[in-house]
Amino acid sequence: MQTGNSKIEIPQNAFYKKSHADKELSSTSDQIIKKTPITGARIVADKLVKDVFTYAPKGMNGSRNSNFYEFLSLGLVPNLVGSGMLIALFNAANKGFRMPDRAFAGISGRKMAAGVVMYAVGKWLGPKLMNKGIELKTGVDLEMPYQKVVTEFPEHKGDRDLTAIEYHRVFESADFPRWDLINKQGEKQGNRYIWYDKIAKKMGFKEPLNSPDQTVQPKVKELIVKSNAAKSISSFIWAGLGVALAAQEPFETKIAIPRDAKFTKKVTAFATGLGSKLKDSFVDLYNGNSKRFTRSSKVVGRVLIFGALASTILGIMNATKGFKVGKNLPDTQIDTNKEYEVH
Amino acid sequence: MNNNVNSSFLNNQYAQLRKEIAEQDVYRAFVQNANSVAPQTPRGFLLKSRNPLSSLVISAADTGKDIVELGKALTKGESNDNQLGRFNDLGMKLGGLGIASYLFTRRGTGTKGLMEFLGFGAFFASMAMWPKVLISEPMKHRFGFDFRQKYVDSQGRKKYFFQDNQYQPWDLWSNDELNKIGDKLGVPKDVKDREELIKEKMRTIALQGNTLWMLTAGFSPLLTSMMCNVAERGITKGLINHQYNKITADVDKLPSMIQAKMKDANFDSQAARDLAVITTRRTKEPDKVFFNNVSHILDPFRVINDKKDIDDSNLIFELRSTALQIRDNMMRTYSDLREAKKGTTMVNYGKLVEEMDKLFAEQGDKKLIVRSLQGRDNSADRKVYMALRQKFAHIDKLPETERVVPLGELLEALDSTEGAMTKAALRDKFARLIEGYKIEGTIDGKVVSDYCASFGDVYQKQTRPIAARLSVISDFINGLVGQKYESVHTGIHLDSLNAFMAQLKPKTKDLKQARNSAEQSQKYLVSSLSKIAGNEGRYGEYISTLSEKQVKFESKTLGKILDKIRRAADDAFKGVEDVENDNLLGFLKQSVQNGKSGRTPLYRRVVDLFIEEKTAGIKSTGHRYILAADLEKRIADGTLAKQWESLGGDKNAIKDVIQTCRKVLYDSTMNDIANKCYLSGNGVDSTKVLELLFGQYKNEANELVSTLDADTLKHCNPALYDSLLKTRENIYRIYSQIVDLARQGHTLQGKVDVSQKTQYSMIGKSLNELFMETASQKFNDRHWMRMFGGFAIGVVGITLLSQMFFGKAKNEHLYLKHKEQKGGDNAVK
Repeated sequence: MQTGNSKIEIPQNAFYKKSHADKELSSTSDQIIKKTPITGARIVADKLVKDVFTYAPKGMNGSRNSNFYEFLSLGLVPNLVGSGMLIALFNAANKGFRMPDRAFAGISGRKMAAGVVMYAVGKWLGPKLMNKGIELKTGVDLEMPYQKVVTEFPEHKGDRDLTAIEYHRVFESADFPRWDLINKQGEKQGNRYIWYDKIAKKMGFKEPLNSPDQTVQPKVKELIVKSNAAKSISSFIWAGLGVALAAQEPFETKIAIPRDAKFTKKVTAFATGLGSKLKDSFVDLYNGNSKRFTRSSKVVGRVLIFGALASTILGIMNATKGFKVGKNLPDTQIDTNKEYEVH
Repeated sequence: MNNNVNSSFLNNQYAQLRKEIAEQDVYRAFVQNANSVAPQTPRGFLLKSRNPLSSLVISAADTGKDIVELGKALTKGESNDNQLGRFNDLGMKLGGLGIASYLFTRRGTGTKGLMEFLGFGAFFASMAMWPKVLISEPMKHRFGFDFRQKYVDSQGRKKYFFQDNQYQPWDLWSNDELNKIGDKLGVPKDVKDREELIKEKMRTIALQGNTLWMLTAGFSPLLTSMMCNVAERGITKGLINHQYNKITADVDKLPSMIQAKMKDANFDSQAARDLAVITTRRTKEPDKVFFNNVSHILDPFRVINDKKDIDDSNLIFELRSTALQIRDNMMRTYSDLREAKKGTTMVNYGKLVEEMDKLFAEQGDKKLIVRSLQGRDNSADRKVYMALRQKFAHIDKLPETERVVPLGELLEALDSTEGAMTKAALRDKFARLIEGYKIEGTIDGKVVSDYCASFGDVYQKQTRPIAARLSVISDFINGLVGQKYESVHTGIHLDSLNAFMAQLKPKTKDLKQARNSAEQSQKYLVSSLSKIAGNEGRYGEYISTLSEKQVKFESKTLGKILDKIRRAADDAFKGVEDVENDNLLGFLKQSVQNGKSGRTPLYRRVVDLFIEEKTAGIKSTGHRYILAADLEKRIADGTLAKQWESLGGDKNAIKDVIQTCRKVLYDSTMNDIANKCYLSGNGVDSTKVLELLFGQYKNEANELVSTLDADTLKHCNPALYDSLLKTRENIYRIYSQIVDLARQGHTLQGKVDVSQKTQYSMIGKSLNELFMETASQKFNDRHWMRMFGGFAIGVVGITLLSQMFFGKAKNEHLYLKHKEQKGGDNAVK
């Protein structure tokens, strides 16, 4: 304890201190995880492995511990199987056809395969772009992942390890964003409001607010609702764009890969081939192919291109509208004279 | 005034009082109810299952509600997790529709386009059907409840009851309902906490159902493609019927359709683009490029050439010279006009004088003059020169740019020069000199622009109306007999082809072999057809079925409507105005030689060409099914050999003859007849082979009769006789003509007065090739079905079978403890 007239040091963090105990605790409780470029892929891989080896057997056994997260994670399975199925339906039988038929069937087969993949890419890319745009404008990463530790019921005699790890997003729910994790993360860094301060600054407050959470939280909630609503439409326009690109002539042929080349050379050949196909398809989609198709194909093609871009840009603009406080507003909206705020 | 003060004072006092009383009331109410705060009464309920129609209406209404909610979410940022999840489904539906419409625009044919939408519909349908038909319905049947039971929560949101395994609002079920389900599940009646066990069992079953759904839903595209596969056939048939009905109904509406075409926005914008060619060049003098362009736009056949249908363009390729003829016509009229309207030709007198001055310089060298003019009498030269200078002395005074003289005046002056012109040679030399400085007379800009504008007139009055007519009529004919995938004609072809295949009944093994080569195809066809020919009953059925199909096509379907179209076309062209300037209609009305039928107007010829060429092939292909079987019949019962002898053929060569006959009938197209079948090299025998196949012979009674087998004629539909014989005659004549061409000297009778293309069609498609293609298609279908049909059955089987193991709750024995204890009691006793 500090005594005397020396300056009293108030601990920055009244709840946690960086300690061994804290470290131990964090591995057994929910926490935000660090995001790297491959975090998303790792989470998907984790879900997929667990789908097959954990969630599906649990579900088929009727386990008490099966939960909604597991049900949603299982959604990956029909997506993958269905995609594979679609590709197989258009390709698997072609080998048995005689030559000219095989070639013709191959065209639609390749287009279908490209379409399935590009659908998935479009559907992934649309929301991704919107999230990135929103993050740039507001500093809020709507994809911030966290790790949830779930404690399960014992089901068998001698069940010991009853915890399971789930991967969620802090802002996946508009009704219940995990503010507690944001606080916890801040506390670890010594300031519970560190994240809110950052966002408040982005909002245009020049000085730190007294209780930034009260100002920031409703805005973030609005962001979640608006962006999710926009994403649900935009992602399908992007998916449509993907399918339309795959429906162009360049995807009728295979990508030429040298046969007896090194692996790295094959990869670069594939990448450049794919790149040029994408570029040509884009040009074809934009210009239409008046020789083969009706003019409406060109119109719809352009609608898709500009629609996808517009849906993302408008979505970002709409979600971040009113996020910044006006210039003439006071630095803080909290009346510091009051003892507490009622919201 | 006092009064006012008083009243306002009183008012204030009362207001104060009222406020205090109100506050006391609030406080009292709070104190009284402080201990009785209770949750609101729940308002959730389970949704009853509805009939499909009302659930469709409700789902449409829900979609509408979602759109409203989406608007709210986007503008105000107000929504909840459940609603946000629903937006995703909304987006999926809209996105799916968008994708289907884009792909629709990329399909050439209506069926394929429709299939995109059907595929989209079928995809969603099978996504919805898979859990319903294969999981939820069987499970409902077995367990007495639906694991996809929906409920409405207190906030009015629709949710699946069993979606979250760890949150199920069981208070929505009454104990009675639960017990009823328990009976179905076979839960003993006397268990402790029976409802709890039932709930636990239901939860388990629902979870298993949900998991099974997730694991198998990915296979639903299997169902989609099976559905589409079946549906496509129906759709093609339906579309063709629709097409036929539409054409039959529309043929009387041709004039109004032409009017509508003229008002069509696309057609209008085309006209605007076309006319720009004329307007942009109006001020300059027209050149060859201009005339090329103008003749291109004035050519009414262009509408057919510009179409996507390549066959159409090929068909009227022969009419390509139209534009050239129009161009030549225009250029001729223009040069006439130019001659008539151009201004006077002038001579640049200033320059001419300069040149002459050089020649006749006063102090110049005489020899120079002599040399330059190459004349001997230079004094005469000088005289002429001086006379000309004198005559036009007034011009010298003019400014340099205006020193021009009409050519005629100068030449006249030259001629009238006294005495000097006695020598024609001299006069010519001067005339040549003068002509060197000629300035051609120009044509007035207005004359040119009027002339060009007149093309606009022709375009509006003739090209456009005629193009509209041709376009509507060609659409018409194409819909009926075009090569489009779903023209009526193609449909009929497929119909009779299917009938043919159904008669042959090929096995997959046969298809697999036949699809690879024409030889294998023929091998199969010969064996199959001779089997049919060997069996009286089957042969009769074969001939009557196929001839019935053919009659239906030729007389009932096409015959009637084609006449109507021809008549309508005649009437349609009557309405086009004549224009003086460039008589395009006159050009169209020009008659062309058309075979034996004499001369017909050009436009009519186009219509006829369409019909002739496009129907001939399918007609004779249908006939070839019958002719091939007839040949086998004749081979089988020995008629062929007799006929061969009767024709004077070598008895010993019959084996070779049979081989050649088969080759001709199964394998040949117009091109190979001469080289593949060696007919031209066979000399006299070639005639006999053609006679044997398509001609006549003398029978035992010494009458000249068709070589067709008696049985064929017996079973063939009588309405087809004429047409069948006509086809034989056509083929005979076309083949003999080719043989004739290949070997001059082997003169065979017969000339065919139709275009080469039509002749090609008249022969019909080679049976081997046709069978090879069809076999391949059928094989592919079967191959695909075998692969995925089996797979689909497997997946469906596993889905259904795994449900057998559902419903075992964990720790069930704990609930049954009560019963066990009873047993224990008994034991103690």
